[in-house]
Amino acid sequence: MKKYRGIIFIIPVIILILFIILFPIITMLSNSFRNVRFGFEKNPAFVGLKNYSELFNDPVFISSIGKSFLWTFENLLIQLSIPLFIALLLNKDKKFYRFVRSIILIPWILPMVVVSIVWRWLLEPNIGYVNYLIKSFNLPGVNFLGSTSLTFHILVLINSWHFIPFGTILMLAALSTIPNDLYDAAKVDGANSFQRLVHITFPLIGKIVWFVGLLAFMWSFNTFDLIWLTTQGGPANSTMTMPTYIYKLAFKSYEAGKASAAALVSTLILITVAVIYFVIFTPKEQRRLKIAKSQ
Amino acid sequence: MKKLTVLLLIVMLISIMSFGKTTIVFWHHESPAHRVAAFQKIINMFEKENPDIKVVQQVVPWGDAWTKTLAAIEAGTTPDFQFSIPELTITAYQANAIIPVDDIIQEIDNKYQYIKSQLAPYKIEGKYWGVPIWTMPMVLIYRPSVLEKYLGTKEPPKTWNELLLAAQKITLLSEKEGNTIYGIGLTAGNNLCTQEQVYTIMANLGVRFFDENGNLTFNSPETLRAVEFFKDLYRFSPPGSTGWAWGEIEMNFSAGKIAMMPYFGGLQKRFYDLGNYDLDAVLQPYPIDGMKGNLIYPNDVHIFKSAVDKGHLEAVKKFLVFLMRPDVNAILTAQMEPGSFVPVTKAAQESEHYWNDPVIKTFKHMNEVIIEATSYGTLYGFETGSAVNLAIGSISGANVLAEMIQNVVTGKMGVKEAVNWAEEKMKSFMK
Repeated sequence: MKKYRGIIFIIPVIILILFIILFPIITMLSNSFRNVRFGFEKNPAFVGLKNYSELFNDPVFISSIGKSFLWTFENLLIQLSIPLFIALLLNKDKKFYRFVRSIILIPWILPMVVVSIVWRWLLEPNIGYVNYLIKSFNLPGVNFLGSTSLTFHILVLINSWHFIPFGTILMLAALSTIPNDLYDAAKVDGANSFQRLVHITFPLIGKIVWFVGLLAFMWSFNTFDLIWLTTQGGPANSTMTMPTYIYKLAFKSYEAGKASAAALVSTLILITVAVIYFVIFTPKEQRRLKIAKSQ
Repeated sequence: MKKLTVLLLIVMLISIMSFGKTTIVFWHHESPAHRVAAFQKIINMFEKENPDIKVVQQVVPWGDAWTKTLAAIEAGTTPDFQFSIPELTITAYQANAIIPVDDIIQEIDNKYQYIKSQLAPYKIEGKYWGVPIWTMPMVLIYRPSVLEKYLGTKEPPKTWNELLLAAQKITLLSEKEGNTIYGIGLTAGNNLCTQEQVYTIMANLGVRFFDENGNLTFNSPETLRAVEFFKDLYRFSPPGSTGWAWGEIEMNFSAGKIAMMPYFGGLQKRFYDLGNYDLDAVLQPYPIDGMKGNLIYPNDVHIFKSAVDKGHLEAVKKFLVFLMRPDVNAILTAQMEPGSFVPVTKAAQESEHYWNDPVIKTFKHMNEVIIEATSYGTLYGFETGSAVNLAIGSISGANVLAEMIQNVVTGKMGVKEAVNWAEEKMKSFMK
């Protein structure tokens, strides 16, 4: 009995995990092969791969996959570089820097609904404050949220603006773990500040950058609220990423079967990319540790 | 001990008082505090007159209305009745969760005379499934001072040509002055607001989505002409409206950046509160070979089967008939959202309770126009006088009309291509 005590204790957690992770995935998989319209039919008909074939014949779905990747790429680019840059600037133990470190968290605290509404108003072409500023320099107003070419990138900026404080705090935490002795020793050896950054700072915060990168990837790929609350995937589907497309299918067109198929494709993409990310981008030190442990 | 005895006595008293009372529960989706308060005011009046019935309101925001309704149907936890719009009633009908309400319609019609156009969206296969409570007609609202300044008259345009010319003149003249006021306010966002505006223009040419047998007839010369006109008119609408929804267009109009727009009359409350009376309305202009027409959005109440199962049907019926009494209906309309929520019975439309409301009285002409518009109005998919094809719920929910317009005004598609695309999309929902 003593032998099984550990397993007995862990069973409730396993059941819970199965229930909250495996059950929805299995339901999603099952729904993706049926003509499900929630609430309409108790026993939706099995339609085989019809939902998938319709999906892959829909140019909006295909373009939504591409847009999701572009969205994630642009977000990652900003969300990894700018927080690091800000963290390096703020990594000083003085009163002013401590104060700035506290207030930069404000955008992160704001709920996305508030962020979306505030930016919608700020960027409104005729009475919005941003265009007011632009026009005060005698420049033509910009159609920020109604342009098929610009809106996507503007939303990336807003999304990153929301994430940057969190990324900065994580980077700052990583920077604070680097012992000052290393910098002092490098200074004695004649290393300039750029060399110290490249040879000490970057290698030692690698793990955190890796972690922030993973978080930023997952969150960016799954961004729904900001896009839905600002453009609903428009104009002319120019901001239609996979989560927006899936929501529209499930809750606007009531095609829950097809939406499940799209959600499964999205899940598979996420898992694949996450695996690749773990394999390729895991910091060498961690990989070495894992290998050592396995030996 | 003494306290406990008193508490027990109170609990017993409450239990005795509530014994024998029927409690009916309804969902509505009007979450702003003043609307919830208006509902409560009506409930209090009703409970005073009917001490054997307790009414409970529960607010489910519009954004959750479909998902929560379908989830409740699936789980068997529906309320007794629900405030709704045609698409949601169709959804509940398709889910086989509601009962026909012909007897209630008949009773209200006998007492207060329904405006017939408001009943059409709720007639499915010869029976009524929703009780229209109020309606929302779209008219052309305008700023008289802007018209006077740039057109030399307070008289608004009456035909499409006049509307286009007026919009052009106001935009160009004000642009010259360095403070552009756009002649017309049209949205092209991927939302309901866009659909309602474009449909108002379509209604002027009698566009029909379906024929009497439910066959799709959307791709017609009338539709092409209406979309072409929308595109022409859109040139004099503010830039950026491809990203607009309700909030942006209302703010721009209130800020004096827009001279005219097809819209609901609800802005009068904001103007009234600000003490600004530079607002009026006219029936939506139509082409010389067209017709008076506009969008109407009748809101209804549907009754769930669960009300019958629980033995609450009679209490629900009593409450619904009470809601349509002109003095009560004036609270639901004039007091709740003056100009936006409009009575659907002749008695309520003529009632002094409605016209004595301070906001309604202040914008009397505008409200007379809005009331007139209830007679000409139609709703997309229900032009034949009943719901002939239930795919309209999905077509509307998926914002097909709005997406079509976005494709046109962003230059992604030509008018013909966009209308073809919309028809194909509609067909996919009919499969």
